Amino acid sequence: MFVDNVKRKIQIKPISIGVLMVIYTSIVFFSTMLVYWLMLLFSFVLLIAVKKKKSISLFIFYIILFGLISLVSSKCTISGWIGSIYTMGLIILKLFPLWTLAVILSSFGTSAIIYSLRSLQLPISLCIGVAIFFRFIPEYRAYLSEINEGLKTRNMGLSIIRPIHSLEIYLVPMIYKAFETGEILSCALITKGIEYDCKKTSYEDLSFTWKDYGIILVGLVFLGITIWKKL
Amino acid sequence: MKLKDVITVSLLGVVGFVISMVSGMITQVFGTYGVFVHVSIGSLLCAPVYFVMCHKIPKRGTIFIYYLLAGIIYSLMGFIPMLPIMAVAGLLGELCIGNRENYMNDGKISISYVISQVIYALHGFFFILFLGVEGLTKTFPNLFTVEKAQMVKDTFFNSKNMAIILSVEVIAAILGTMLGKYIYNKFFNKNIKREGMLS
Repeated sequence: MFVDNVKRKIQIKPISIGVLMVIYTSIVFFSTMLVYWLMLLFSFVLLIAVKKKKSISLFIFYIILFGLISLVSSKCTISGWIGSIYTMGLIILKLFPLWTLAVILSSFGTSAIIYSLRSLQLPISLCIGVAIFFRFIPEYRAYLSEINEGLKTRNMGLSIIRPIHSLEIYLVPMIYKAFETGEILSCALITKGIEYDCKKTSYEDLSFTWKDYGIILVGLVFLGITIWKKL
Repeated sequence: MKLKDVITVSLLGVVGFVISMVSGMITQVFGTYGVFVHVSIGSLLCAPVYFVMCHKIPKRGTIFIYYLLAGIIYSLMGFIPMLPIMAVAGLLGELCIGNRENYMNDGKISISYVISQVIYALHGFFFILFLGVEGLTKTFPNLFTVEKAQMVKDTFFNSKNMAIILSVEVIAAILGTMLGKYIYNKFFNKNIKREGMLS
């Protein structure tokens, strides 16, 4: 049997980000402002370590949103539709540490996420589903811009007069793209032997290092502080 | 279900989830009336995805996985109570379809879709029903004050409001199924013979 001894090393493992996400999920709505800022800061530090360029755009987005929310709360009366948009903005800000982690998780390959989830003894269908969901949510932005470019070349676009046509020109390519990506992914996973009944190994080194233990430890500290503050 | 089916359902689930999220955000523009149409726009727009999925992957578990994955993602985003609601929506969707052969039956798909989307649309009602005002403020302390949770309760426990929410949702889902059927037949149904350029 062929054994690859030269494994590619990933700095931070998907499973440690996943555990951190679970911890964040359980405390994000309970945490004090101090823990919230710490969670946000830690998420950004991890994002910088994994995806430097993405962290800049995400940081700018956060600052703009935070500024707008602060401006609305100080200058406007929070009622009606302004109130609704303000609440939505607050929810986005509140969940930002989690979404930052989701961005990190989406940077891992599908195989790495599937292997990590399988090590938790989860059903294979669930592992594949969750891995694909995380991996491909950001991809759809790229798909949309591809569709937009295609429509521009055909001199087509959104039109209020033709709502069904407007929906068709965006939705149909997205559904076709899903089927096309499904074909490619299935071929890739079957070629890698996912359906073969044997113990699965990973090309990438997904064993825990001190960095991963450190990430989980920091998450547990946040959890501990939140519980301590609530008691 | 084969591996390829799980992958395709997951990818179609991503399309549905993204449309639901974006349309849910758009409804915020309606202000206080947003609660009446929160899921409805998504129901209208996601139906084609659902129709194509059922026709192309006519296998047990398709609908359940579609809703369950959305529930898992919602719960990882911090909305843990959404997981059981989406799981129930998926299960009821599967039950409404009935036999495996019915995955190709437009009528059964429509019923299944409307029922599942109604369950999804009533998530706010279920939150308040099972958690209560106090539970809601305890579960989401940074999102709900007691007054706001009470306001949500008053909205959902008012029969007139409930009738409006349900009517809007059912109408949107039914229109969605008509749209879904139309798009499926126009772009994905290979059994329909279209007039060629030379005919």
